[in-house]
Amino acid sequence: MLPNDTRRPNKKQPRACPPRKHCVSAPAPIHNDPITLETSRDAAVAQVRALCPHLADDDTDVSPIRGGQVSARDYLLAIDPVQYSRSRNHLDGAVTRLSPFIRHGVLSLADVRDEALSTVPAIKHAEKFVQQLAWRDYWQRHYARLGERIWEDIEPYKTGFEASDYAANFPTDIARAETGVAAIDHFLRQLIETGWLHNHARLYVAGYVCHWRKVAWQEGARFFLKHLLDGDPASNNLSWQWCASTFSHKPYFFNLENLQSFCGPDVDTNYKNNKALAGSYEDLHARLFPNLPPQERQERKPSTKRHKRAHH
Amino acid sequence: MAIVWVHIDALDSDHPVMRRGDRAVFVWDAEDMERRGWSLKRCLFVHECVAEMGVEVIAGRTEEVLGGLGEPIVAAETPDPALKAIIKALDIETVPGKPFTALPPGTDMGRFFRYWNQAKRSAMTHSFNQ
Ligand SMILES: Cc1cc2nc3c(=O)[nH]c(=O)nc-3n(C[C@H](O)[C@H](O)[C@H](O)COP(=O)(O)OP(=O)(O)OC[C@H]3O[C@@H](n4cnc5c(N)ncnc54)[C@H](O)[C@@H]3O)c2cc1C
Repeated sequence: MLPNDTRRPNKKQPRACPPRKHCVSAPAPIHNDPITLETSRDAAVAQVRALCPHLADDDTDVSPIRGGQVSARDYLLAIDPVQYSRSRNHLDGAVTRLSPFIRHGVLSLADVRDEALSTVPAIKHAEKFVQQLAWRDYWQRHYARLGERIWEDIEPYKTGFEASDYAANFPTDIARAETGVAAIDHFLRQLIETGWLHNHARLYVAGYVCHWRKVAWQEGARFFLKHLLDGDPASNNLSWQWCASTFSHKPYFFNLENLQSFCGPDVDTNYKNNKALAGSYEDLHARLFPNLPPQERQERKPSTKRHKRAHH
Repeated sequence: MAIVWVHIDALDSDHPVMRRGDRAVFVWDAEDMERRGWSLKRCLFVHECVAEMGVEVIAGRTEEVLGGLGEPIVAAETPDPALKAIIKALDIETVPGKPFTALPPGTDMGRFFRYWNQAKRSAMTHSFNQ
């Protein structure tokens, strides 16, 4: 379920977490003289450190994705809308990785759409891709309306738990990619080290954080915004709310079988290293949401079912 | 001509707002980046985008720096509430980006697919033909 313009966010929700306002460190020195930005990577990293005293000493990861229009063009010229519509839900599918550039307006959605339309034999072949671009436009329009209320639960959880049942701190083991669930740790490491994750991996992490670990979606959303180069409160928070069920009619969860069907060989999806994720949908539903009535038996093709739900 | 405030939602030399001024300024606002909780790699990505644009860069609190420029300012339209607050406080004129869709007024935004039904026609049309 997606938000309805006429509905008000649930005012009683205890946890509205805009980026923290009152914990800024000593102000950076204000130089009103123009500064010259370094262009080599090493010098740029040193300059960013000097300009941003808030960065922790152990925050050292630098993404392989470089900012700027030159880099953006490389990704733009590689898009393949036909392959995209066939494979986009697979972690090794033909997704574009354009999101950091789109997020910061280096490329507009119109630029990307125009390029996609010019590469296909017939316009209909680009429809799935353009529809995904439209998700961003859709979330941005909601953000313009919601403003900081994007940090509030839009609706109550539909998990059988109250908002106050969810932890208000982000667990250290998740922040360090040391949960002991191999596939989740793989995605967390990728997020921390590169600043980008495939949409399906984002869904898996969000489902795990909210439902396996019972952590408030706001905490997970904040962690993503710290690391994702494309992190933006519109797409991010509303997707987290969709997984949590505060912006959808049911919580998003998955099982190991589903994970195995979408991951490539580089992700460890062995049962013995991912036991927490294993089980049928009915079993997991009973385990994760014990206060809800049992889930009806689903047809034996969970990957297709969840795959459909994972579309957005 | 006005000064263009280049902000984090529009790091594009080709944005229509860039044609509205003869001087473009990006404010490196470390406090704002801290408030947003950005890691090194995020700050670096923005640094690289801005460096390539070749615009003037001033470090400091955005509102103070822009307020001290003493000229009319224009900026790209944005849904970001913190940027919108500065736009409002300093009475900055905003310029929309290249349109992706033309939505009829009153479009039902309650569900993505209701929005998409209205948006699809123009979203699937190349900018040249819009
Ligand atoms: C929990 C969670 C958090 C997310 N946080 C963000 C975020 O902070 N910023 C962000 O841009 N996206 C976010 N997304 C949406 C989506 O995962 C990314 O946009 C996409 O994975 C980026 O990779 P890509 O550029 O290869 O996308 P592609 O699949 O190649 O799509 C092309 C472009 O379309 C847009 N797009 C595609 N899918 C979506 C979607 N579902 N929602 C919104 N836009 C979409 C993006 O701008 C993307 O770059 C999130 C999704 C989830 C489930």
